[in-house]
Amino acid sequence: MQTQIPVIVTFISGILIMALFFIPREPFTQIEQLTSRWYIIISGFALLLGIDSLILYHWRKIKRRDKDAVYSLILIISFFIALFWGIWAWYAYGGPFISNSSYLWLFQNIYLPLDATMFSILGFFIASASYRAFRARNLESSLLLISAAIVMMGRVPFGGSIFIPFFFVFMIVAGSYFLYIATKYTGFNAIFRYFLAILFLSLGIGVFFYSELLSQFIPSLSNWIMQYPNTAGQRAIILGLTLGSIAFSLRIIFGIERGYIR
Amino acid sequence: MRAILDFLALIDRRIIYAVLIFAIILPLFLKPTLPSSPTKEVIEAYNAVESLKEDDIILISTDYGPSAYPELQPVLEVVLEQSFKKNVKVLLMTHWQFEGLIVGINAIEKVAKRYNKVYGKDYLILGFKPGVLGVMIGLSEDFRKVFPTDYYGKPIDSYEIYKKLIKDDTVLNYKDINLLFGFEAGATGDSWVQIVQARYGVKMAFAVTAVMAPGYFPYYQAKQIVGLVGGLKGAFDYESLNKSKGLASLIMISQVVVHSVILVFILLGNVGFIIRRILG
Repeated sequence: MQTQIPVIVTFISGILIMALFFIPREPFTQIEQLTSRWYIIISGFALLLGIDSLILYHWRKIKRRDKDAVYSLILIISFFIALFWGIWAWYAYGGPFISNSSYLWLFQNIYLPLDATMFSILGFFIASASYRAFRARNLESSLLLISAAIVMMGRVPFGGSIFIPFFFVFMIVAGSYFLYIATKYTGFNAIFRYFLAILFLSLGIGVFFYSELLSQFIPSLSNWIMQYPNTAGQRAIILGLTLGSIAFSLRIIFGIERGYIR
Repeated sequence: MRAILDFLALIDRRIIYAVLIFAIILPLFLKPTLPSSPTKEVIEAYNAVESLKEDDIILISTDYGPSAYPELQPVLEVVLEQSFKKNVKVLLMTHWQFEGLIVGINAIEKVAKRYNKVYGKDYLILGFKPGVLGVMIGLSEDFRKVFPTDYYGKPIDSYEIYKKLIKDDTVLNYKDINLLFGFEAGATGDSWVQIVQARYGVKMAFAVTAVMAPGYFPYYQAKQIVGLVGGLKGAFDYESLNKSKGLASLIMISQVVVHSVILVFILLGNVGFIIRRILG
C-alpha cells in the first residue's frame, strides 16, 4: 500500500497533465492552471527541504570546527539576516521588493554585486581551462581547436585580421609535427600522417599569401559554423534529451521506474 | 630549451589570470570606434522591433540577472529606445528570478525618462511571478489572472494603458501582443518557444548570453523565433544598427583583446606541447 498509492497518484497526474497539454479548451485550461499552481506549492516545499539540508550541513561543519567552518558561519548568519530582514520588510513596506523597501537596498547593493562578481570570476576559469583543454593531441582535438579559434575570433571586430598570424604559426607547427611523426610509421599510417602534414602546411602557406581575403572570410566562417554544424549538433542533443525524457517519464508514469519512492 | 617548452605547455594559471586582468581593464581606457558587421539573425531581431507601429504592444521578459548584465542590458536599452521612439506600448515582466525585474526596471526607467514616457500610460511593469509553466498558460487567458496588480501593487486594469491595450476585447492576453522580446540567461527562453510560440503562435525574438546562443539557433533556423541576438557581439551589433554607443560598444574592445590573449595562450600551449612531443 505504501508504494501503491504514490504510483497511482503519479499515474493519474502524469496522464492528466499530458492530456491537458494537448487539449487547450475549457475546462481543461482551468485544470491546467490549477495543476500549475499545485506545482508551485510543491516546489515551495522542495525549497524548504533544500533550506533544511543547507543549514544542517553547515551547522555540522561549525560544530565539528572544520577547516573552513568560518565560511559556513558567514553563510548561516547571512541567511538569517536576509530571511528576517525580508519578513520585517513585509510588515514595514508591504513586501520585500516594493520600490521603497529597505530590503531592496540590501538586494541591489549586496546581492547583485556579489552575483555579478561570481559570474565575472568564471571568465578567468574559462580562459585557464581553454588554455589547458585546447591541445592538438589528435585530428579530432585539432579540429575542435581550429573551429573554437575561428568562432572566438569571428565574434569580435578585426577578429579575422587577429586570427590569421595565429593560424599561420599553428598550421606550420602542426604540419611540421605530423611530418616528423610520419617518419616513425609505415604503410597507411605513414601516408595518412604525410597527408595531414601536407594539408596543414599548405593551409599555413595559403593563409600567408591570402591573408587579407581570409581575414574577411573568418566572420562568415564563424557564422557558418554556428548556423550549420552547431545547429545540427544542438538539434541532435535536443532530440536525444527529449526522447530520453519522454522514455523516462513514461517509465515513471507506468510505475516501471520507482526510484523516487525509496 | 626544455625549460622554456615546459613553461609554455604548463603556464601557471595565476599568470593567465594576471594577464587577463590587464587585458580586460586597460582597453577600457582606449574607447576606440570598432567596425560592426551585424549577422542576419541580429538584423532580423532589430527589424522585428522596427516593424512595430504606434500603439502596438511589446512584451519584454527580462529573465536574467547581473551576471548577464553586460551582454543583455545594452540590447534591452536599445529595444526600449526603439519602442518608445515609435510610441509602442511596453509591458515588462520576469518569471525567472526577481533580479530580472531589478535590471529591467533600471533600464526602463532610464530610457522612459529620456523619451518623456509616463508610467501607466506608455509602459507598465507587471512584476515578477515564479512558476514558468503556470505563468505562461495563465497569460494566455488573461494577464490579470497572473498579474492582478503591477509591481507597485495597483490593479493593472486601473491604468490608462490597460484600456488601450485590450483593444476591442475585454481581456489582455497573447492575442494582443505584437512581439515578445525575451532576454534570457536561463532555461525560460526554451519554455517561451516550446509553450507560448508552439501553442499560441506569438511572434518572438530573443537576446541571449553567448554561452546560450548555440542552443537557440535551432529555434531560429526553424523560424520559431524571428531574430536572435547572441552575446556581447550581438549586443554590439544591435547597438550599431541603432547607431547608438552604449555599454556594449564600450566594452567590446576588452572582448577583442581578451579573445586575442586567450588565443595567444592556446597557441603558446600548443607550440610547447607539440615541440615537446617531437623531442620526446
